[in-house]
Amino acid sequence: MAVSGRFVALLALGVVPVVLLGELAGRALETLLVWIALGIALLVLDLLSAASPRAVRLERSIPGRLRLGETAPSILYLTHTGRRMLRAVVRDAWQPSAGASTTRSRVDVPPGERRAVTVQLTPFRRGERRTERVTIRSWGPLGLAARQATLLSPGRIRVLPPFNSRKHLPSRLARLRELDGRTSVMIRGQGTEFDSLREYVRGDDVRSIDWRATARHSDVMVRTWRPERDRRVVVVIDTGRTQAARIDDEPRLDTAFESALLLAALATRAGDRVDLVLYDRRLRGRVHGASGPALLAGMVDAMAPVEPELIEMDWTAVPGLVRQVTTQRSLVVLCTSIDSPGSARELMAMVPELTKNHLVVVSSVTDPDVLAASLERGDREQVYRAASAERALLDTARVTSVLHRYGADVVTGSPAELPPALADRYLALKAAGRL
Amino acid sequence: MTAAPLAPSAAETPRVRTRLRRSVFWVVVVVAAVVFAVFTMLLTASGTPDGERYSLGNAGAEGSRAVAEVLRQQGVEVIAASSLDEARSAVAGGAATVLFTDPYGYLDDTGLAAVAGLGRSLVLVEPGSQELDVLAPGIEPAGAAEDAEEVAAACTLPAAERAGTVSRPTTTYRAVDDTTVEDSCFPSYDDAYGLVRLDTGPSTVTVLGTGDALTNGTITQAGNAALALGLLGENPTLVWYVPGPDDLAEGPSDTLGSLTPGWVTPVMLLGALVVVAAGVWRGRRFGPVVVENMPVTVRASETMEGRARLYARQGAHTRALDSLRIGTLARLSERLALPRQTDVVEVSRAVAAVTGRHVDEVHRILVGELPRSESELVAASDRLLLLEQEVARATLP
Repeated sequence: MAVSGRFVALLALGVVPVVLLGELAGRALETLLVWIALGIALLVLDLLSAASPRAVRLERSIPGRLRLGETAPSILYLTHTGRRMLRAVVRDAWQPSAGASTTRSRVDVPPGERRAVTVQLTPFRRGERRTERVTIRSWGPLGLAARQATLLSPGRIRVLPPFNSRKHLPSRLARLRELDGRTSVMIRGQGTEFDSLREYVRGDDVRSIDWRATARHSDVMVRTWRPERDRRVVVVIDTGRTQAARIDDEPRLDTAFESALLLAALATRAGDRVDLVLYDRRLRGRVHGASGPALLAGMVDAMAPVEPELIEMDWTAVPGLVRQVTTQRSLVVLCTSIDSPGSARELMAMVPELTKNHLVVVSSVTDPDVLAASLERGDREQVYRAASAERALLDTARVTSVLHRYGADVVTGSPAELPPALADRYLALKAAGRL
Repeated sequence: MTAAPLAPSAAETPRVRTRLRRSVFWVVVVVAAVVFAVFTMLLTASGTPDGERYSLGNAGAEGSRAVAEVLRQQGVEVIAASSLDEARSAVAGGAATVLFTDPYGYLDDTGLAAVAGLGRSLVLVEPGSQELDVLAPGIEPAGAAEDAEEVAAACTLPAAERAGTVSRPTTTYRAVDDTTVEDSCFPSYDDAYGLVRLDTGPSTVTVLGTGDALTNGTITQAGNAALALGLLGENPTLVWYVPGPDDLAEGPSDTLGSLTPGWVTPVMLLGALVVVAAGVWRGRRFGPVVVENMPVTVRASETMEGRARLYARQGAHTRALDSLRIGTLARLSERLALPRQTDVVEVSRAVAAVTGRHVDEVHRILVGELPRSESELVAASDRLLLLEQEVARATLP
């Protein structure tokens, strides 16, 4: 049960008769009692004539997936199975980070009819956002009292990583086409794999003329090359505790997701096969054997519910995971953080095992704040801060040099720079034919 | 053909009936507790001592229940009166002893004069001078009694004689010069007595300074009981008159209550009710609270800040400068296209060549000098930055 402000106002209005009759007839107390009795009688009457909030059937229509930052309508259908007119205020109890536009909506449902309540969801956090209950407050015709009940009606929406770095994709794809020799500028393909023979057109590199084929044909033929195709790219994302730290208000893990998505989008266009493994001490997500749009859809789906765990990454299991994916030589991208030799010890111990068979790239986010702090030296505090920042940079540099020595490649960058940097590194490796 | 009625969604809120059934145990417990509390209160209310001195209802040390009960057993009708009207109607029966004491001074002179005409026999217990002036003219207080455990009767008053000795009087009284008194007992200093009896004409007035003789706590000492019973049991009726608030002279004085209009209290009640209703209105929760596990926000630069504060607190200027120099060296060798692991001397030489500074000076900036204070640390850090800027300018393409 709930009472309204109207009921409170009705009670408060009792001041008028109490004072008037008190002054005129000296019967203030009696008037008060009569007024209260009247109020309660109206309240009870209203309560009794309110429709039952339980006689409602709830159905939902929610888009299953939504990219972070987008808005989608969540529609709740109320079918009234009772016999009295339902004047209700409905609260659809979405979790706060689902970003519901409103949590309370007024709706009148005549008996036997159905009405829709639409709530716009703009989630501000990745993952699975849920609603479990719907609370219905059914007001009486006078609007003094309401019956209230909470009905179970679970619903959920999966909020996918935003993939903001897709804005870098067109330029990288253009570069890829250049590599491929499929650009409008007729340059010779830069790959190492023989592609095809075609007739010479002006502008072609004369060094690519295949004289043997020219002799066989009546025309000058050039050889085109293309980069290797059908290589394997294995992206291993660390979901351990160090990935929870925020840089530029974005957890390291989300930056890792962004870079992985851009790399995968690029690699699948380039004809390579991409596999994703999310791991800390147990497998938290995996995408295997998908390509094209299905790959990206599968990846965002696997990433959506993953949050950094407060446990240390178990690097010793990674070679095994990679071996499960493929035994073929492949590009293994490790998305993690290389902050200090102490915390990266396990990583450094494991890398040689991977570099024996694979090409390894370690991708790590650097904090632009640290870089800025190292150059800011106005006063005593700032100098100490700069010293500490230099120490942090030195730690990273030490880990980087060790990884280099073990044959791994390191890509670092601020959250905004890392995804394109990783994509560029991939393109460079591809251009160099090292895949 | 009609479609099958749709089943409503499952409700989580229990129905009123269910809720009542669930809470029936607690309702019973609360009702039982309230009933028990009311019952025990009713039981004990009658026996509660009122705590007043000389009160017949008070069974404590200060009360006078004992003497009243004994007198009742002896066939004396003891009537308690707390106002003049009550006392008057109690006396109306016939021959009565009136015990009068007014510790709070409720009665004014008019009231006291009325007391004088109450009965044939009047016993004043520890009266003040105002009461004496009206009720026993010619008697005045004579201060505290001599320091002794007990005092002897030393008179012919039967009650006092029977008592022999009584507790030391709280106050003594003496007759003013030419007043003739019927009897004076329990002498203390020269002419001060613990009990003085005089005949005022309409009544016999006994002024008793030994109030202890009447109270439960001390009545058993010495001859207190005998004195009390003897004095108070002279007549078949004893009116025990201790004035109360009802005896206050009633005047036309306006109180706050009589000045406020009759509707103020109801309006205040209504206001309280409205506040409660508003609380219910605003306080009713619209369904259960939604829980969500939120991630902890950890800033990645926390460790850096923490280390900086540690440096600052320890005043670790040498260590801090070392870090700064290592950073500068790395950047310089990168800028000058030297291998990463180049010797400092080599770097100094290269820098000197580029900037035109002396090698020793560059070497001093890069490793040589040791900061002795924090101001020197800041200066050294500035020199490092300056050096980097110079190299950057010099190597610009």
